Amino acid sequence: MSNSWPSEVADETLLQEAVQHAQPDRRRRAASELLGRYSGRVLDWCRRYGRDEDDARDIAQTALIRAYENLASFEGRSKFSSWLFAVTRTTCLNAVKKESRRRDEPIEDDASLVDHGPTPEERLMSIQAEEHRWSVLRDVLDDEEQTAMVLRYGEQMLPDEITRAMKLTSKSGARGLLQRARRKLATHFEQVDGGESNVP
Amino acid sequence: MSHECVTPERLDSWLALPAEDPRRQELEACPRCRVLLASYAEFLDGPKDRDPELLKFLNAPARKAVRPWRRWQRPLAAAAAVLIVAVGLSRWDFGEPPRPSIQRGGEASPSFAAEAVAEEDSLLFSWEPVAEADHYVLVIFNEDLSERMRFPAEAAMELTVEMAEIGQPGQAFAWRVLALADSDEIESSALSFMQLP
Repeated sequence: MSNSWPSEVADETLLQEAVQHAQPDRRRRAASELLGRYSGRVLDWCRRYGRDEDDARDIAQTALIRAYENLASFEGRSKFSSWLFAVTRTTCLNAVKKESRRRDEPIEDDASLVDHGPTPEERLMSIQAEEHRWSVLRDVLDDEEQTAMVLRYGEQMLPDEITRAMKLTSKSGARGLLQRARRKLATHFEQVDGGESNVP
Repeated sequence: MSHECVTPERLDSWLALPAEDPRRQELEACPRCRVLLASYAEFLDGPKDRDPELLKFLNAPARKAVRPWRRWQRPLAAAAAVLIVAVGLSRWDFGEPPRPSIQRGGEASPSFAAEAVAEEDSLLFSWEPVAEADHYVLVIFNEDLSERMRFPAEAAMELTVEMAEIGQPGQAFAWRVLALADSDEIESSALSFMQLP
């Protein structure tokens, strides 16, 4: 399938052609050019979530098919790149959730925090005001720990996926980061509770 | 200070703000927004090279749009389809071919009706909507019930396929429709056998 658009043609122009052109073949070629521009970036992003290269390619193709199928519903309220990013990100998160359901993987435990009342993350999530919740994270954790917590409890990603997503190279990966974050939070809540501790 | 987390639609405008802009700083103070913004920035900075393999689905056989005025032809054509299916079944080799594999926990029981109607040089496949399904896929099987090809049908409840795309005149084949939600197969139609006129 050869494309005939120079690179300076705007995404929005291609999008219009991909959706509205009278000739189906022209619509398809415009879509191919538009999605092709981002195919490398979509795949690169999906590599963070896939178990291996094949899995990443499967997720990337699913994202691109989903984008293609929904081109007509793109309302142009944002740039095409941010819309495609949202589609890709959602597809990746769905793939991760599907995989974790398939594996029925339990949430990792920190032995020191078991059976001592609500866990720090339960305490955190029980904070009703979202603003306050994030401010606790911000005040107590460093940037890397905050990111790991957001991905784990905001996006429901598994530790292994977070390790890949954050490109962590340490042996313990996100698991270690999350445990460190939970200990910090436990200490924080212990202080807030004025001595009532949920950790030994 | 009130804060509303950034939405994907606004990512570009927020990313365009200089780092010292108070609105950007407020956003960066929210871990969730910071992750989202950083993620989007990394996505944009990703490799610009193309991967044509990922776009192969665009080369799938083109489907014909079904014109509304042709819908009235269905009842008449349905009778023809029944005849075709009957002929196909009478010629079918009912040995013990391997069954097509059904994902999602073994053999899924057929759960929604689907039919195929011959029209000139094409076949019109149609089926009942399935709750929660967000798209459908028509699967064509060879005589030995190995999978031959798939036709994505998006969210439509019907699909027209050129007979030539399926096989040669007189060739037998089987088909079924899969209903999917979020890439998970949730239901499938019964396996049906046909022979191309």
